[in-house]
Amino acid sequence: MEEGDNRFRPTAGIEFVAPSGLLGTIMAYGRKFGPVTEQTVILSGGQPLDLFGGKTFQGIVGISVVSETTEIKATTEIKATTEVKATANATSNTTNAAQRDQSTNIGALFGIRGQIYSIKGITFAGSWESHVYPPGFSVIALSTGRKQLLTLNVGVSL
Amino acid sequence: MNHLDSLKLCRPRALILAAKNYAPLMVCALLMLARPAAATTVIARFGPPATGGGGTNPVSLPPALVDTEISVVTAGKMEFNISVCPGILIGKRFDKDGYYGSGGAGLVITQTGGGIGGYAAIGYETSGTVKFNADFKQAIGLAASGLLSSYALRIGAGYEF
Repeated sequence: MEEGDNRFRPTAGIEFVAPSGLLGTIMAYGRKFGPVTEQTVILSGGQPLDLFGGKTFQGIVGISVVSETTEIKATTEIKATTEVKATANATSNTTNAAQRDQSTNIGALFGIRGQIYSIKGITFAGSWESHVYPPGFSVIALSTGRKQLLTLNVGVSL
Repeated sequence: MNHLDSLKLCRPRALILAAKNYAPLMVCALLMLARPAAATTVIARFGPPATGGGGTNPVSLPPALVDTEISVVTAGKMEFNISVCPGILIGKRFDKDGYYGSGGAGLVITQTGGGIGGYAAIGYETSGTVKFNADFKQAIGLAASGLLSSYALRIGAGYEF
């Protein structure tokens, strides 16, 4: 997963493919550093299109919904004062309140995918997808933000 | 000579006169009919690219150079894309019912520099001499600093020669 800054982060997900070819995917990733936890979930549905003259490569168009949550835990910072050295109980505490920010956006899915190998109901595939979201409702169309996904998929026919 | 006879005489003269006056138009019409079914198309597209700087991409009104892309699609469906971002890319286009997919390679350009890489695009184009075109193009390049990613969602118009 890349979010427009050329930095790729590890992501995991599950994909369902209907007999008609329609795709449903849920992807999740996140990271934690100190009191800050980031979590992102992307839910998308797409229709493969045979645009590349064969079944090996397909184009995908669809709809994508993203939910991003950033949470900062409450922290207590203990500042030592000069009195601490004299008396162990003389400390001043600074408490930062917990913060939680959650945002949801809906956008479009564009991409290509290709089947690498298939044997006895097991399929290995790869995809290169862009989940493109408008940055807000008050902006001019075409101004976008993107989450880029490079995936390797292993699928089983049920 | 009654008025019917005068009409008979006038008819060939009128035809000759019309042929003289409209000959250039008729030649043009014949040339247009005789041209090959698929010809070279030049497309100008506009829309803000994402140049790998993080965040959303701003919109420029009127479109700046970085928002502009020129594509040339030959009769053999070779595609030449020239833009500041995602870069200078050459590939092959596949058409199906107005929709198309294309892929190829070239110089991928982002804010952090340029690198050699590949691209894939999907789009929609109307038929006719003057075409409406909508295109989403994504590219990944490899540079000394690592992977470069850029994309552009653009709309524009094409003219088929």
